[in-house]
Amino acid sequence: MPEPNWKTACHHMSVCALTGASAFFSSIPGSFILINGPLWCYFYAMKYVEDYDASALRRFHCTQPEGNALVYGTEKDLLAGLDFVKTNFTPERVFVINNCSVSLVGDDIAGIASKAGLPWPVYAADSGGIAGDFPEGYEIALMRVIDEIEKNAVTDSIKADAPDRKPSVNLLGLTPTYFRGEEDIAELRRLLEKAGYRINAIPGGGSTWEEIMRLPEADLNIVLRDELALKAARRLKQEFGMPFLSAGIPYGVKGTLQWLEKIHAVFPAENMEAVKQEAETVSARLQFRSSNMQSLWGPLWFDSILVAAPPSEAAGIAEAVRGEWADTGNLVIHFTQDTPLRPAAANKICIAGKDDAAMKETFENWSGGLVLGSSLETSRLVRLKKPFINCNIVLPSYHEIIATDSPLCGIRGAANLFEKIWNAKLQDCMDAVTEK
Amino acid sequence: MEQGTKAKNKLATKWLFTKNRSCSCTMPGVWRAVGFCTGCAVIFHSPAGCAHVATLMDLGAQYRIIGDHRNENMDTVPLIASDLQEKDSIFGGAERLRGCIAYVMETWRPQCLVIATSCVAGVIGDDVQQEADDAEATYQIPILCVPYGGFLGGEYSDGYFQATRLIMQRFIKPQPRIPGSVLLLGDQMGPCGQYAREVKRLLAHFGLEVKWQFPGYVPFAQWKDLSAASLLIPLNYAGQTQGGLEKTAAEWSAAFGTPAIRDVYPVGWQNTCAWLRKIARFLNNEALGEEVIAREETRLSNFTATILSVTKNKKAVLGIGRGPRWYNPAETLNTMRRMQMDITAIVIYDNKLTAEEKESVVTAVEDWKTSSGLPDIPVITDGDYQQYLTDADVLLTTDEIMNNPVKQFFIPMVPLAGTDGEILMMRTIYRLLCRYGNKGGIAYA
Repeated sequence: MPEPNWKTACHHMSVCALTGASAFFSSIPGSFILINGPLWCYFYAMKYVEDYDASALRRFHCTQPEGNALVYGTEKDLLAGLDFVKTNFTPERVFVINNCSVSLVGDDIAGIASKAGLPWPVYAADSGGIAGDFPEGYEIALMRVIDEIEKNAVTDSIKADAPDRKPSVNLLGLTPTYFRGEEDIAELRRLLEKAGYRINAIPGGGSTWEEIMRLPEADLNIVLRDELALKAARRLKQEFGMPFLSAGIPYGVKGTLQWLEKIHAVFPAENMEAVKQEAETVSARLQFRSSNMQSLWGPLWFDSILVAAPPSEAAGIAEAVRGEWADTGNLVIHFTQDTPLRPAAANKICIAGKDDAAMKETFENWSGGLVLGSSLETSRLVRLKKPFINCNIVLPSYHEIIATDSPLCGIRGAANLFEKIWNAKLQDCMDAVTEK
Repeated sequence: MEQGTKAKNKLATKWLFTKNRSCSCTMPGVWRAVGFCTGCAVIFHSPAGCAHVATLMDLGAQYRIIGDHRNENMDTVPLIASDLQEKDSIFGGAERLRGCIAYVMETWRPQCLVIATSCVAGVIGDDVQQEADDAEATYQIPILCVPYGGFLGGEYSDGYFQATRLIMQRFIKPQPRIPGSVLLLGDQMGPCGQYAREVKRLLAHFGLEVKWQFPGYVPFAQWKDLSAASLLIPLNYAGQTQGGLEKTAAEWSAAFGTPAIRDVYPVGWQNTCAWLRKIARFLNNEALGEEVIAREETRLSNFTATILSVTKNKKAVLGIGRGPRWYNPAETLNTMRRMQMDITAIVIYDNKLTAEEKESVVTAVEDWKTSSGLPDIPVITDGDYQQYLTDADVLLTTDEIMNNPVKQFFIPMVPLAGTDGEILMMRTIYRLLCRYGNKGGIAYA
């Protein structure tokens, strides 16, 4: 029997590559996404983006090919789709993304697009679910854009020419479509700028096409999520000689300082002290508030803590929650994607697709505690009638509205998560009393 | 961080697409047909993302029920994707499926396995039925296969009804009847959904008790008992999609001799009365039927009286962008009349329907106008309806209209059933009309 890699949907959310590519391309202002595939696939990819960006449904369309098109090709459907865009919209560029079954047909998208006589460029990518999950789709899209950077390569002499230029970095592997993704991007930008770095570009995180085309001008690529951008960073190093650092996402106050020091060690910042001062102030405030609350409500103790998220989020949050805020005798991590990360804070680590039976046990043996995950984990526990308190840290998030600009990562994110966890505990105490 | 592109034309409705071709996928339908049947497991022979879509649908339904202060009290069965990958398109995915079946048998130990296939498997050409047959011989448990190839084999409902048919053919055997026991046929958000709850409440007036809801909500071990029901009630409504349910009910009755209440369904007040009369006739107690109707009518009238001060003479527009497969406008129009609203226009969204659908909808609307004695209500089919919306107090609509200040009520996709459904809909419209200030968005019942 081959190595098991089957993914049990009731234990994790594996958004497909079509969604990952859509999320990346749609983050570039002025872009229109034409999904060459059925309405069903289009709808779920578009809806994922639309949950955070209301304009998505005006920037997505699909070709809805008939079954015969999978034999004879999708040219007719694709031309009709491009004509729809041409008739109704004036985008700066169109990205055509093939879904999985259409990608098997092997249509020459560029050739077909050239027949359409369009006033804007069309870029194509095969990125259906057969290519993998969200990270693979995001990566395909990022690589596709790097193809264009190579074609339009601007001289890197700019780096040396500007006399008063600050050291600049690119942030790779960010997306506003993740849970509080837009807020996290803003926090990372704020922290790095406060430390003295200039942000050159954040492909996939809101940068314009022109900014992305100038990606090679930066001094360093910081990879925030390996699963989304490590491959691209390696390619940029190979093609443009750009150094990179796999830094992960910073969670907790201490975790954020460690993260920044890691970057500083490779590429020194001018104003680290400013961030350190902010960290000290916030840390003192959180400790003071925590002591006050503990005097009334007792320690922030949970019999068990479950952290269920993609690797970058889960590893960082597990360390922060146990290292800085709460106590427990049993911290379990459910990584929703495979990873070599093994955080010391965890008592047990399960990987979706490999440890499904162990994940099933986590839920079935659960007797109460804190769940940091998504509406998926809470759905399981509700159905199993298990007690829990919860804060969402990843999507899907059906039972929590996001309306403020509070991030999860960085120093502001630390205060936010600390507050959320405490309030969840307090609400649980109040519910227990009112239910009696 | 919204990323805009400029729109040239005014595309008024929120969604750009029309449902003129296959608009869904057969696999989630298969999943839903056994989703809560303890003892089963489901494999999608597909990329992993397809299972995610089915799970998202399930999560949305669960949280909608929680939002209605209900608890499903059931757990879903395992759903596993065979995780088809690019290399499988060259060498075929049969071996991967075989490995996946072995993994599921070892990890989840189901009593019955159901396999659905994706468009990718359809294009590759894997003989999944053969794999299922082989696995059944190996593992000695029943394995049902719906090799419809995702969207290539039809719609969600095709997968759902085919899985239902396979269960019926294989597992349901004639049983002695249990008097007064009812089997609900169909989903409509399951046992905690408004439709099933209301049907149970109305049937209780007749001393009938719902024992099962099939497919989807009966443990595998109880499938064999299902024909013991003495009455079959399909949870249907007007619409071609539901033809599958009608057909399945007919097949059930033919196979097991269970009488079914068909042809009329409790969606909209008139239909609810007709449905109650049909049940009363079946029970040979028409007097009780009239008594129940009178009681329900009183509930409805009492509620309506509490909201008329707000709803009466309010200018209301009905906006239709949903084809006759999914929607019957007469039910909404009757509710508007009950609320004594002034129906100033009926708008048919020109970017939402095919020519054929448009013609059917216009015919249905004109028929209603004639039968209701309201021939002068304008029916707008050319997109020139802005003034009507500007003048309206409320728009009852199948599609959200963008960038328009009119108060909007979304006509639900899953129909609201019976007296409670009618009250729920009227209450939402009443609350919308009570709204102080313009808060935007659209109101859902």
